[in-house]
Amino acid sequence: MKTETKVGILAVGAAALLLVFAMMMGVLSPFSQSHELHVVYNYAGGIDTGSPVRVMGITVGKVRSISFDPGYRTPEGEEVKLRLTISVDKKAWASVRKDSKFYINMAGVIGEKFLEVSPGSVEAEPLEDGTVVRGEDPPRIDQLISQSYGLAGKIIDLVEKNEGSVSNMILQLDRLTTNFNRTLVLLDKTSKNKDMVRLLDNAIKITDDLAHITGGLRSKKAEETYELVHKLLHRLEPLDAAAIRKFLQEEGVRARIL
Amino acid sequence: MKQLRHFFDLVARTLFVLSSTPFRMKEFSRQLYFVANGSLPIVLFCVGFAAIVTILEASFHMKLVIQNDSMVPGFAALLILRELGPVVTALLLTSRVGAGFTAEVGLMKTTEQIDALRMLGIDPVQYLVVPRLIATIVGTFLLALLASMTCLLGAMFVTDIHLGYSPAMFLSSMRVFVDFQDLLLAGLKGAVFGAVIPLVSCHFGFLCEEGAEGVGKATTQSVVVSSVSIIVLDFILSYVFSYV
Amino acid sequence: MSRIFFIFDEIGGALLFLKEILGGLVRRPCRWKDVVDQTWSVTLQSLPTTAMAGFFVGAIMAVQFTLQLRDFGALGYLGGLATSGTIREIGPLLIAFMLSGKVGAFTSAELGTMKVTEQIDAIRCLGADPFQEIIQPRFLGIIISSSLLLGLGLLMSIGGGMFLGGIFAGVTSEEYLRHIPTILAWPSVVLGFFKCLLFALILATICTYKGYMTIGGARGVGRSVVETAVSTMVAIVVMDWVASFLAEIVFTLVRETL
Repeated sequence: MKTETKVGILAVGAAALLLVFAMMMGVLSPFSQSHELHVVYNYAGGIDTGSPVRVMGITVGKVRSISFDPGYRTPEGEEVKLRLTISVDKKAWASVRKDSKFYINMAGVIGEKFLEVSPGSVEAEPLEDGTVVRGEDPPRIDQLISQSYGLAGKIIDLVEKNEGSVSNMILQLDRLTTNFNRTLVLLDKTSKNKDMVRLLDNAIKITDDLAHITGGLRSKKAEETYELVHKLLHRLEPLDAAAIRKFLQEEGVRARIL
Repeated sequence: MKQLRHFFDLVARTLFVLSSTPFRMKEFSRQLYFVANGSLPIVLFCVGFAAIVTILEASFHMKLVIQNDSMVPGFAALLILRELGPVVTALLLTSRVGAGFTAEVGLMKTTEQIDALRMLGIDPVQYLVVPRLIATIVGTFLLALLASMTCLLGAMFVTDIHLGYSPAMFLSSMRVFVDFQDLLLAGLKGAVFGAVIPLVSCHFGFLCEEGAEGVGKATTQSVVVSSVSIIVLDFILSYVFSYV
Repeated sequence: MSRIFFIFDEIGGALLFLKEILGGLVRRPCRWKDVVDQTWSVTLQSLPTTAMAGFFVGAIMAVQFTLQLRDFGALGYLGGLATSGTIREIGPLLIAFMLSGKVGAFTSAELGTMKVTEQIDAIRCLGADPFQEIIQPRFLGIIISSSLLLGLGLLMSIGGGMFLGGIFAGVTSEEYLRHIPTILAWPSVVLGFFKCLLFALILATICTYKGYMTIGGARGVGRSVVETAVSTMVAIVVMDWVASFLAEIVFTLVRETL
């Protein structure tokens, strides 16, 4: 064999290994047939080109590109400025439907970010290749913190302003239970008809009291508070796992060092 | 000091004649064959063993620090691509190729063949150094790629046996740490080391003294100087690639 | 095929040569003064090279580890991890590579020159044993000084890591040193120094063998220097693996019996 040939074989071998590496890293994927989707977000914390796309926890594609699209409006009229182009493998394409939701999620010890697609229901229509869909914006920790500060302030305000009515409420509740107790005692002692009138009388009194209390609770401010608490809890839910893990990790590291 | 001047003289002269040197395919492929094909078995053999040791050691340290070896593949892959692949290749080439060049050029010097070349009006730098320089740069680039990939595949295999992580898990752990450019940077690092080896060894070859003792001394010096410069350069390149 | 047998020839030849040296040491030991002289000259010669190599090896490890640890916010571990990694693995390996170039190539060039200029035959003619006069002092000298140099190189690498950690990672030397004992256990140190001894033995055997077997003038000296450097490196890489592997088995056994 000529020297040139052997050298050539070596060079081709090196080039082939380069290609193998490119395929291992997922830069090249000539054998996979995939579909494309455009997911739009207003905030996509930590997602990068190449981040995996998962359906029901299984990696089925990745984020191909990220582009800024300041003029874009959804058909509903909402301004959404960030567009992620993702690829989804053929095998998982059938599970992605019109009612699928696109979350940005975090996994693993080192907090790798990925795009989670919730499977759609069978009744919903399948998506077309290249459709633009609205993603669920992930919670922003900075906003969350400022919101919870505001919320805490509001709760304190509420309690301070309505101090009188709150104590009043407690007083009435106390009276109500006493009344109710008495009624129960009566009910226990007399199962005869002659006390029925009194029993009814008491029952009316109780419902009156109850109406009074619930009236207090149904004020506009209280309702707002409920709403906010509800929202906060909803937002905190996905955060919890990561935060707790991070906390534990840090504790672990500290424990080892000390 | 005098040696240093001679060395930079040689480097400058090489760069100067580089563009005006006609490309001799035959000589180039002969040198490339010597550099790349000749060293391939040793390099792959050593790198294969290095892969095993890397995995063993990485898992030892990971277990020590975070009681968990799930990040071993990624970490080992990074270490292989950034350091082990190019550096082990370059150090092996230093002794095999570099010492070979010095002995060859040194012998030509002591047997007055270089003077004969000069008499014939041929520039020894152009005739001896330039083809070796180009062949070694290309050769180390190819070898660094081959070595890194062999080491990675070897590491993947060892992780499968020793730690029980399947190749797919190895790949997904690797992707977190490694980018595609890392392999190219490994090749680039190799190419930079490859430029150092022939220059240093030809320098010592040209300074070679008479007789067996002179050749022995020149080869030793060339191996030492090129290995030290490779380690120093590796430090500089690591720093540049990581922080810039 | 013949090339494969050639490798076995070399391994067998080197082992027989080692046996001869060791046998000679028992039967006709060389003068102690010669050994000390050799040790002194080899150590002095290679001191700057080894120290420099050690320093940079430590620096490289520190740079690489800093990059990784920074992501986890565990820079406190830098000192321990870099030192442990250097002492157990990278340090002995790379410094032994340096020494194989410096000491190994030098000795085999020296012996090879003696051989081709027929100085060794001259010694034999004078009725002296060349093994006793030349090989034994060099063999012992290389083992002693290589172990010393490797140890020194490891210390330098700790220094290099500390220096770099201080500059680039902002880990003060005090903090760097404080975390070394938490990671670096005595088995690692034992393993590191066992590797040093092992590599020194390999180095001494191969370079004396190759030097002694040199034939064919200045060209032969050049060739045997190249062969020494290459075969030492290959042998060191293989023995590195063997040592790590054996160490793991031994330490598991020790841990189980304790």
